[in-house]
Amino acid sequence: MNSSILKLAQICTTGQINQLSTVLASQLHISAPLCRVVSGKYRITKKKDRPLTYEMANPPHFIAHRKSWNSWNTSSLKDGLRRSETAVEDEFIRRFMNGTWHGLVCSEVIIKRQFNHIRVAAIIRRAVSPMKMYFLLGYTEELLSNWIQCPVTLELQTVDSFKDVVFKYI
Amino acid sequence: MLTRLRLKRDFKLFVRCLSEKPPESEGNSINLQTKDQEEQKKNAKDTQTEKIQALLKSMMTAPKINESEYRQKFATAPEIPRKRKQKTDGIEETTQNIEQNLTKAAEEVAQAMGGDVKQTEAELLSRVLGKINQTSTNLSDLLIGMKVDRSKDADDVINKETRGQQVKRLVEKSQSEAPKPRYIQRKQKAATDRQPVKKSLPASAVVNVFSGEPLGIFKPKEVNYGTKLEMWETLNQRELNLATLQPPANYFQKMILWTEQGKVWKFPINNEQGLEEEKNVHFSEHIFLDTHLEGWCPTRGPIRHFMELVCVGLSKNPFYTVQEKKDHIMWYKEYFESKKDLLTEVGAWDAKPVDQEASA
Amino acid sequence: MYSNIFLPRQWSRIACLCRTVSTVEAQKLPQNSNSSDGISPPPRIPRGPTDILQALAATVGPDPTAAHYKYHDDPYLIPLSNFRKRSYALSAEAGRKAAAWIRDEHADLFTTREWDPPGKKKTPYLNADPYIEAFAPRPIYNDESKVTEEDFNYTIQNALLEDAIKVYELLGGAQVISDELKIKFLQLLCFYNEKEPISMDWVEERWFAANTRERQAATWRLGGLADSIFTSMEPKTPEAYCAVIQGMAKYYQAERAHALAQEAIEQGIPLSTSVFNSLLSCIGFLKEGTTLRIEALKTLLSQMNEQGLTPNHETLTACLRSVSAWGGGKILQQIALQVIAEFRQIGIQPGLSAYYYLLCLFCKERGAQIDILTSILNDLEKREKLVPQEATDTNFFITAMGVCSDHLQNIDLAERLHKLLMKDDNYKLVGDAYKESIYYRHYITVTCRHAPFEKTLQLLDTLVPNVYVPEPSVMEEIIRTLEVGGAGDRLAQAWSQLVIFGHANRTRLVERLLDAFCNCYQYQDDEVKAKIRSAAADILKFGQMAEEKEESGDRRSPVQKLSATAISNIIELCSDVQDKADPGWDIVGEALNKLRAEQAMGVPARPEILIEVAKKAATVGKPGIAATAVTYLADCGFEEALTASVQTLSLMLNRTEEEVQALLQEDRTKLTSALHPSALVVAEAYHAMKTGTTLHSDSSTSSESDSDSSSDNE
Repeated sequence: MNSSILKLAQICTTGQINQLSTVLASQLHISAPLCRVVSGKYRITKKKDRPLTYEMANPPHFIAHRKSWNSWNTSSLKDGLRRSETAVEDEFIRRFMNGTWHGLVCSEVIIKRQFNHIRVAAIIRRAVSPMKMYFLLGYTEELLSNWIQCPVTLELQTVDSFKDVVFKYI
Repeated sequence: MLTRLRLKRDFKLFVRCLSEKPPESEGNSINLQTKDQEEQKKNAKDTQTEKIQALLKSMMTAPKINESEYRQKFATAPEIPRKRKQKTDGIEETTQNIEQNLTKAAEEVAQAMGGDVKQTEAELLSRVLGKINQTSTNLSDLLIGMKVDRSKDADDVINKETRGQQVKRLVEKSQSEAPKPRYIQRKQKAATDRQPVKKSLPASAVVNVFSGEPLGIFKPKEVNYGTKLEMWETLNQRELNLATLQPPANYFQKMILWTEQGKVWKFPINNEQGLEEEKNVHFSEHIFLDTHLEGWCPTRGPIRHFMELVCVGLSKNPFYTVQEKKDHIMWYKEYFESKKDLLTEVGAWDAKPVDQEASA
Repeated sequence: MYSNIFLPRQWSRIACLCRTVSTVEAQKLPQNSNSSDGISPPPRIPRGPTDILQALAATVGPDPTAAHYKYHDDPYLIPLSNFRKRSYALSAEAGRKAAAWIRDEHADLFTTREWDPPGKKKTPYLNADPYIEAFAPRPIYNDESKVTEEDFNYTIQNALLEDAIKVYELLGGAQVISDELKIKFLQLLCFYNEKEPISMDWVEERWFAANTRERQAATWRLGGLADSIFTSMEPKTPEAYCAVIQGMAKYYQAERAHALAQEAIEQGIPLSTSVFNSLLSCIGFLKEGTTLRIEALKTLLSQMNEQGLTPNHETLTACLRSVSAWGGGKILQQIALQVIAEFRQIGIQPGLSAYYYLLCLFCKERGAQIDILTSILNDLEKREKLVPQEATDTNFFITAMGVCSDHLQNIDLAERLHKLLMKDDNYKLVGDAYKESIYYRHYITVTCRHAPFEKTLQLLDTLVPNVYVPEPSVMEEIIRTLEVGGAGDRLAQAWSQLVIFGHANRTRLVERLLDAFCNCYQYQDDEVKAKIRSAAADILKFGQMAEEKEESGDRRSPVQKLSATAISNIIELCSDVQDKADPGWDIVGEALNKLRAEQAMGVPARPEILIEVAKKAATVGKPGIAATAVTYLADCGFEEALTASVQTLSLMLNRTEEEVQALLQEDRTKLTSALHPSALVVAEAYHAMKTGTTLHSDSSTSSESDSDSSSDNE
C-alpha cells in the first residue's frame, strides 16, 4: 500500500498521468473478490506475533455473522444510487482519517450514512493530549463536510494503547 | 476536650457580642472591629470583665449539663444524613437545649456586668437568638459564627502562653511577609462582603412593580413607529440571536441547527426538495410534450414518429427542467427545418397518404 | 394511439385545470372536517421543516450526569474543570476554523463535487448540486478583487463590516453606489460603529468570550466613514437621519445625537420610535443632576407623543435603563414605577431587560433591602413564554440570582427563579459561559447558606461537575456547609474534587478543608474516618508531588506551601490509628519531617496536637516519631515542650514523671550511654528548651504589643 502511494506521488510529480489510471485500478476493487481464499485473511507468521484486531481476526465470510460491515449505506442495495461515488468517498474518508490522525487510529474506520449525514467511527490511541484531539476532531469534521458537502460527525472512542484492541496474535 | 473548647467558644461569642456595639456599628467595617478589640484589651483590666472571666471559669469547671450528655447533643446534631427521619426533631430539640443554655448564660453574664441587667440580657439574646431564629438552618449559622471566632480563640491562647514563641511568630511573619498581607486583605474583604449577610435582620420592604402612578403622557392610539430601518432591524435581530445562541445540547437541536443552515434535508423527507423553481410547474407540463410538436411537425411519417419518441424520452427524464425540454425539441425543429429541402425530396417530410393507408 | 388524440394547444390549459383542481382538492380536504359518514379527519396542520425536530428536542431534558453534548462522549475527552471545559470547546472550534481557512484560501481545490446529474458542470470549481451556502467557500476581498454591487450587497447582508468597507473602496466610494445600498451601508456602519462584529459561525468563541460590560463612554467614531457618508448624502433622507442618530446615541455621542434630532424635527423629517428610544437611553450624558434628568426624560417622552409616534417595549427599556444608570434613591425608584405604570396603561408589558434595570435600581449593594423580585417573578411566572426581545435580556437571570443571594438571601425566590430558567427553552437566556457560571455561583452560595442540608446536597449532586464547576470561593462555601452538616464522607470526596477541578494548589482552600476534616472527624463512623485519613494523607503526598515537579522545572508558578497548622492537622488525623504497622504513621513521620525541615509556613496553632501525637507514638511504639514531634516543639519554642518531653519520656521509659524529672537532671554524658537514641533526642529537646526559653523570654517582652496587633489583623 505504502509503496503504491509513493509510486502515485512520483507519477504525479513527473506528470505521467496516463499511467495513473492503471495504478488507481490496482488500488480499488469494487468487483467480486479476486480470490476469496486469500483476500481479507491474514497469514500466520512464524513467531506467531502478528497482532490482529477482532475485525481482522474474522475473515470476510463472517461479515453479518461475527462482525459487521465497515461501510453502512444504501447505495449497494438494488437500485441504489451513487455506488461508485460512495465507494470513492469512503476510501477518501478512510485515508483522510488515517493521515490526519496519524498513527492514532487503532481500528477500521467505520462509515455510516444516514440521509445525508455521515458518521465516522474509529478507535483512537490516547497518544496526544485531549486538547489536540479536540482540534483534530473539529478540523476533520469541518474539512470532510466541506469536501463531501454534507455534515460529517466523528464518533471516536479512545484506548490507552494499541494493545487494547488486539484480539489475538497469529 | 472538644466540647469544652466549644463551650469556651460559646462564651467567647458572648464576650464579643458584649464588647461590640449593637448593630449600627457593624456596618462600619474593619476599623471599628480593631477598635473594638483594642477596647476589649483596655477593658481587660476592668473589673467587670474580670468578673465575667471568673464566671467563665466557674462555668467551665461546672458545666450546666454533664459532659457526656453535652457531647451527645452537640455531636449528634450535625449527623443529619444518617438519621433522616429524626432530622427536624433532633435539630429542634438541640436548638431548644442550646437556647435554654444560652438564656441562662446570658442572664448570668448580665448580672455579672451589673447595670441594667434586663437590658443587657435582652441585647445579648437578641444578638444570638435573633440570628438563630431568623434562618432555617439555625444551627449552622451559629456554628459558622463560632468558627469565625475559632482562630482568634486559638491565637489568644497562644498569646497568653509563651513569649519566646511570640518572638518566633514575629520572625516568621516578617519572613513570610509577602503572602500574608494579601491573605489578610482577602480576609478583610471577605469580612466586608459578609457584612450584609449579618445585616439581614430587618424585614425587607416589599415593592410591587405595578404600584406606580402613570405619568399620563401617552394615550392609546393607532400604531405608528415612524421611519423604518430594515437593515438596522435585521442587525438588531442578529445581535439578539447571537446573545441567546447556545451550542446544541442534544442531537435533535444539532439537526435543527443543520436544517437552518441548509446542511441536511428538510423533514419530513420530500424527494422534490431543492427543486424550488420546479414547484410552480405542473407535472403534466413535464410529461405531455406533444403540444410542442404542433404547428411544425408533420402529422405523420418518420419525422413525426421520431419526434414522438423524443417526447417520450424527454418525458421520462427527471433531470431537465421544462424549459430545457422545450429547447431540446426546438433544436430538432430547427434542425429539421434546415434540412427541409432534402427531407421533402426524400419524401420524409410530407408523407404520402398512401403510406398512411398502407399502414392503416 | 397516442398521436391520434388531437387536442390542439389545449394541453397547457388542461394541465392548468388539473393543477387547480388538485390544489383545490388538497386545500379543501382538511377544511370540511364534518363529512356525511361521520368520519372527520382532523384538519391538516402545516409544519415547518424543524417543527418535528423541535418537538423531539423538547422531550430531551438536560442530563446532569453527562457532560455537555458538544464534548465527545469518551472518558478521556470529558472535561471536568472549568479550564478544560473552555480549552476543549475552543480547541474544537479552532480546528473548525483551520478547516474553514483552508476552504476559503484554496477554494479552487474543492472541485470534486458534481454528483447527480452528471455533466452539468457550470464553473471550473464548486459544482455542488444542490448548492449549500454553508459549505461554499467564502469570498476573500483584497485590493486585486474585481467587485460588483452584488458583492457589496452580499457583504452588507452578512454583516461583514470590514469586507464591506473594502468593497466600498474598491467600487469607488459614495458616487458610484446606488442610494438604497448606501443607506444600508450607513446603517451597518452606524450599528457597529465601524467595528467588525462577532461572527455567527463560531458559537464557542462567543460562548466563552466573557465580554465584560461595554464601556459607557462616547466611543462614536467622530469624522469616520459613517459621518462622511452622511454629510455627502444630498438630499438627506429620513432613513439616513435615523441611522446616524441611532448610531450616535448607541455609542453615547449624546449631544450630537440630540442636536441632530432637533435639526431633523425642525426640518420636518419624520423620525422613528427607535430614534427616540436611543435618545432616551443616553439622556444621562446630556444633563447633570437627578431632577434635570427626570425633566429631560419627561420632555422627550412628550415630544415623542407630539410627533405621533407609538412607544414600544424598547421605549420602556430605554427609560428604565437611563433611570437605573443615574444612581438610586426614592425619587428615581418612584419615577421607574411610574414609567412602568404608564406603559402598562397602553398595553406594553415590561420585558426581561426592563426588569433587569429595575433590579439594578432597587437592589443596591449598600442600600436598604427591597423585595421587588417577588412581584417580578409573580408576573413572569404568569407569562406563557419568555421571548427574548433585546440582547440585554440575558442579564436578567444572573442579576436576579445575585439579588436572591446577596441582597435578599432568600432561598425560596432563588428556587423559583431557577425553575423559571429551566422552563421550556428559557435556558438560552442564561447568556454565555461567564454569565452562566456567575449565575450558578450565586445559586449555590445562597443554597449553601440558607437551604436545608439535604437539599443543598441534592443540588450539588445535580450541578457539580457537569453543569457547573465551583470556583474556589464557592468551593469554600461548600466545604463550610459540609463541615457544618458534619458530612465527613462528602468532605473526603471534596478533596478529590479539588484535585479534579484544579483547585488543589490553592493552599487556603486546602487548609480550610483540613480544618473542616479535623472539626468533624470525631463524630464520624470508622469507615468514614478511614476515608478522611486517606484524604489527608493524599493531601500531603500531593503537596510533595507538586514540589518535586517544581524542582524538576515542570511548573512555572511557584508552589505555595501548606501552613504548619494544616500539616499538624494532617498529623492529628493520620495519627488516629491504633496499629503500629498502619501506614498512617508513615504519613505522620513524613509530615513531621516536613515541619522540622521548615517546609511549612508559620508554626502550628495548636501545639497540643503534637504533644498528643508524641505521647501516642511513644505508647504505640514509634519512638522516632515521638522524638521528632517533641524536638520540633522545642525548636519552635513552645513552652509545652518541657512537660511534653517529660511525659513522652515517662511513657517511653515506662517510669513515672518524677523519676523522669530526676533522670533529666543527671549528667548528660551519663544519659548518652544509658538511653535509647530516640529517648536521648527527647531529653536533648528538653534541655534545649530549658535553656532556650529563658533566652527568649528576655528578648520578647518589648515585642508583645506588636505581635498582638498583627494577630488582630487576621
